[in-house]
Amino acid sequence: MREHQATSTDSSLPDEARLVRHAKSGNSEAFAELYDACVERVYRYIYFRVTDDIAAEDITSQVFLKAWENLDRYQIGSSPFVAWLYTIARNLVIDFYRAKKGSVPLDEITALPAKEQSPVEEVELRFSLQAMRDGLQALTDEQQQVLILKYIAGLPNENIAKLMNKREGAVRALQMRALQTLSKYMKEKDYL
Amino acid sequence: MTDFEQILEECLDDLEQGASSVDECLTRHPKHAAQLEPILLTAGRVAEGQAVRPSAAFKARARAKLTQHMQVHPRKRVWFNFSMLRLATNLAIVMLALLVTGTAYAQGALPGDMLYAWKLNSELVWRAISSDPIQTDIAIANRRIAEMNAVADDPIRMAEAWKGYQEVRTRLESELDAETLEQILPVIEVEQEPVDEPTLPIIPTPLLNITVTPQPESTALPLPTISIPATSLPKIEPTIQIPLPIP
Repeated sequence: MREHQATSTDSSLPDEARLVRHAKSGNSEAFAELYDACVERVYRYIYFRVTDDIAAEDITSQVFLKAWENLDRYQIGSSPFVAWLYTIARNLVIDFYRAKKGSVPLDEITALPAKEQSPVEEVELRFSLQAMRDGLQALTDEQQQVLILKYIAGLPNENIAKLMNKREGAVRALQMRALQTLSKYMKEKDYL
Repeated sequence: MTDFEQILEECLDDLEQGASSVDECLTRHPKHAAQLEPILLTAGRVAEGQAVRPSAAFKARARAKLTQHMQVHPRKRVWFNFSMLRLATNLAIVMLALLVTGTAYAQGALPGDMLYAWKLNSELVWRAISSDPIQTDIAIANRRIAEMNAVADDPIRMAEAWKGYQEVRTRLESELDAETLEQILPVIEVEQEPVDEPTLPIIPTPLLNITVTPQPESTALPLPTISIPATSLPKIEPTIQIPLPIP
């Protein structure tokens, strides 16, 4: 957990403001750099919001197309660029569920673990991730949002509060309630 | 927040910062260990989600799609952004507030004052948008007379007000006809009342004295005439003489 936190808390990209400024003025290469820097984080966020990997990829792709079209709406410095992308992603996930009217059954897991692992470890990790992914679906939209933004996207509570238009205290309380609910689910399913 | 929630928050913070492990937290709080354990383990499990990565094939495919999209839909250079739009809106609000305040303040200006021209211009706008220009002109004429009273001791300023009065009077003359007469008479009668009050010591006479002179029906055009003798300033005794057809 410690290692994960260390790698995830850098929510702003180096030179992000310059890239966004260039992209805003029409520089597609600058935007492609932003894509390279953010695509994994956006995918990860969406991956845990939907149970369908194909949908996760499709929505991730749409996030960047929408971001390019609506780049004027992002105010440099108001929040990390990736946080703005999470907002777009969340709306697209909501649209996805509206269109599907329910979750889609999982077919296969295509997401890859970060490090080289033995086949057994990899299977275990995939099993664990899938269990958690299923568990998250049992939470409310806000509970999913706070847990993913905090523990997977690695955003500080301050940014999460801004993103969700809540006070930091409310975000903390929401996180604790979400963890309690998720832990009950994981225990019931023998995932813990 | 309950005791348990406080302990949970403290443990989650410690885990996040790497200050202690799950076991250390449980050892520190044996009373709540059974409750804490699944939650802390769950938090750790959720953090494992950071291991998820999209496939390289997907990343390349999505990047190519994005590049193509950007070529087909290039971003137009916008000369202003939302912050500039907000600034422009704020500026417009300030300008509007200044215009309204300035116009209201200018209504008290007298000839020779800095805001007097503003007052005259605002009267032009007032008249232009008024649904009844004749009543507006009468009100403006009253203003000029009040101004003449106020600046009676200054011949230059008095002359300016007098000039303004003459302009309004000319306009009123041109506006008077058989149709407007019915409208203008009661208004003028009403306008007479305030000037009878002792608050206008210099011009105690009515604003407009109207003499209606019946005329034979054969008169082609019953156009009214206004004559305002202003023989000696500041004594102003305007009179309207209106020839009317005999019923």
